[in-house]
Amino acid sequence: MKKIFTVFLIGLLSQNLLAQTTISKSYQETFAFEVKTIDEFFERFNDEPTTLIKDYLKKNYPDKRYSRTDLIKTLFNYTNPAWEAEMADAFVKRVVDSTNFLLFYDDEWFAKCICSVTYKGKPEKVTIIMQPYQDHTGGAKWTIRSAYAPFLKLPQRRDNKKFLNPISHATDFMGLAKAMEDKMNITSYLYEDFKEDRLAYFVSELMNGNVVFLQTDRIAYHMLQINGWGLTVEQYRRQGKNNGWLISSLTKLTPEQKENYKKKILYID
Amino acid sequence: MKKSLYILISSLAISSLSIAQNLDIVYLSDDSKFAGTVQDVGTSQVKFLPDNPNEKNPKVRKLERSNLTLIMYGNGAYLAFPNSYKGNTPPPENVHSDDWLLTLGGEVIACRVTDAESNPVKFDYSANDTTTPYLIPGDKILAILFADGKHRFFSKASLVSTQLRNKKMATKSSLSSLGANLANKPQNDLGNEIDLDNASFEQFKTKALQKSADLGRYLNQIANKSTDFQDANKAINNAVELFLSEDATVEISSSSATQKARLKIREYLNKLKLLKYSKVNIEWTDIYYVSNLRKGPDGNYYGVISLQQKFEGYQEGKVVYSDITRKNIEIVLKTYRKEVEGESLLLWDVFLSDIGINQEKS
Repeated sequence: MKKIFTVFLIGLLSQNLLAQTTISKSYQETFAFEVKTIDEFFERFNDEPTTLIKDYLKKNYPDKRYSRTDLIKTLFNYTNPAWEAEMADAFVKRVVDSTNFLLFYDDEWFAKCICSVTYKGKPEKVTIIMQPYQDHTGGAKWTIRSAYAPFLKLPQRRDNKKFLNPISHATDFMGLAKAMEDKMNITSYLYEDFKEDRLAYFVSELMNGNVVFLQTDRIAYHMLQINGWGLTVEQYRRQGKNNGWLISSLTKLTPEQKENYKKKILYID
Repeated sequence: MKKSLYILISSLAISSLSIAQNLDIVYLSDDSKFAGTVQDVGTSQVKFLPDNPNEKNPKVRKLERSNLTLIMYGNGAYLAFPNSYKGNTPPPENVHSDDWLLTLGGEVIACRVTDAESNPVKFDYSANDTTTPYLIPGDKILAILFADGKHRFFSKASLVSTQLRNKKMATKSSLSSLGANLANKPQNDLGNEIDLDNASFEQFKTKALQKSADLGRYLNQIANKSTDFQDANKAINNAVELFLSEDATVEISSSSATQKARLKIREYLNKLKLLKYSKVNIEWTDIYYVSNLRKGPDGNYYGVISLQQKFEGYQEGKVVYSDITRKNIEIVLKTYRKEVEGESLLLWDVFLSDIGINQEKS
C-alpha cells in the first residue's frame, strides 16, 4: 500500500525527524502541515494557487516538486487507515484526470456532528446533520438537515387491535382521548404511510425544554458530490505532518447506494 | 502571396481568427502559421500536407521540429513544442471536451464559452452540476481553445505554446484571482467568495491580523498583575471593541474536563484579569492560516484565522504553567454604505467574532 501511495510523504516525513531542532520549529511545521479547517482541505484538494502549505513548502523545501496528485495524497489518514490503497489510487487518478473539485457550495456534502445534550436531565448524545445552503443572493449558511438519537424515536409498535373504529365519528371521536393516552401504541392510530420526522421531534423536544444542548463533541464530513465515490473526512489531532482534517474512509458508491447512504448513515429521508 | 505553396494566414499569430474545423494549424517559430493536415510527427521532422485550393496536387512538406512552436489540431488537440511526442495522430491526452480559456499565468479555465467576440469574453463554468455565467476581460487571456477544434489567440503563438506546456487547471474558487467575475454580480457586490489573491482580501487579511495582534496585546495587559486596575478595565473595553458584539464567545478547554467551557468575551476577559499568576506572557506564533471569505445571508463576509497561541503563567519569576493552543478566530467583514461627495460608497471593516480552541499541546 505505502509503495503506491506515499511517494510524496516519504521524503517529507523523513525530513520531519531531522527538522525537529527546536520545539517551536516542530510546532510550526505541524501547524503548517495540519489541515486546520475543512476550507483548507478544499484548498489542498483543489490545488488552489495560493495556500499556506504551498508558501511553507516553497520557503522550507524549495527543491520539493509536487503535483495536485501529491497534495491530494497528503489528505489521507495514514495511521490505521480504513481505506484501501488501490482504491485510493484510483480515486485520486479519477479526480485529477476529470478535474473534479470540491466546493463549499456543493449540494451533496454534509457535516455529521455528534453532540452532547441532556434529555430530561440525563446526559445523552444526539447526531445532528448539517448541510450548507446558498440563497439567491449568493449568501451561504449552514443549516440543520436532520437529527437522530435513540430517545427521539417514536414507539414503532403497530397493533391491529389498537385503532379508532369506523364509527368513531358518530361519537364526535370520543375514542381520540383514549388513543392519546395509549402512548406506547400511538403509531397504531396514525395513517399507514406515516413517516417519522426526527428533526421535527428533536426541535419539539428542544422547544419544550426536554433537550438541552451542551456541545459538539465530534464531527465527520461526508462528501458524496464526486461521481461514483463517497468519502469521510475526520479530524486527527496529533503531532507530525499527517494531521488535521483527513480522509478517514473512501467508498465506491452508485447513485442508488448514495441515496441509501443518506438514509442509513445521515438519517436523511 | 496566394500562389505560394502554403496558405499564409497571417504573419503574426496575434489575431482574432477562428479557424475552420478539421484543418490542422502549424505555427512556426517566427509566428507565421499554415493550415493543412499534419500526417506524422517524427523524431526530427513533421510531415505536413498544406491545404491550398490553388494547388491540384499539393506535396507533403517536411518541417523541422526545431522550427515549430505549436500545432493546433482540427479535433481540438494541441502539441506545444518542444516536446517528445511522436505519432501520426493528435496526442489523445491533449484533446479536451470543454472549451479552454488560457490565462496569462498559464491557468486553463475549462468551461463553455458563450460569447468569444465580446470583451469581456462570456463563459459558463460548471462544477458539480452547477453552472455559473462569468465574464473575463480579453487582456486577461492568451487564447481560447474551443472544444470543436477552433481557436482564437490573443497573443503570440510562442507564448501560448509556453503556457500550454506549463498549464494548470483553474478551479472555481480561483476564477476571481484570474480576472473572471460573475456575470450576474450585483453592482458593488464583492461576490460569493473573496479569493486569496484579491486585493480586497489582502487588505482584509492585514486588518484581521492587526486586530488579532491587538487582542494579544490587550490580553497581556489584562492578565498581568503589574497592570493598574483602571488600565486593565480600559484594556477590557478596548479588547471588546475589536469584536463584532458582546455576544462573541470564547471557548476554553481544560485538561481536567471533557466539556469545553464557553464564555462571552467580556466575561472571559474579566476572568483573565483575576488569574492567579504574578505575570503572564501570551503571544501568537508567526505562522497563521487565513481562509477565503464567504458571503453570508446578511451580506457580511465570514472567514477564519487559525493561529497558535503560546501561554506562559509565572509565579515568583518562574513559569509554572505553559501551553500552546491553536485558536480558530472567526472574522467578520462587515459592509456598510457611506455617502462621500454625493456618491454612495460600499465600505467595510473587520471584526473578530467567536474564538474556538482546537487542541491542547503543552
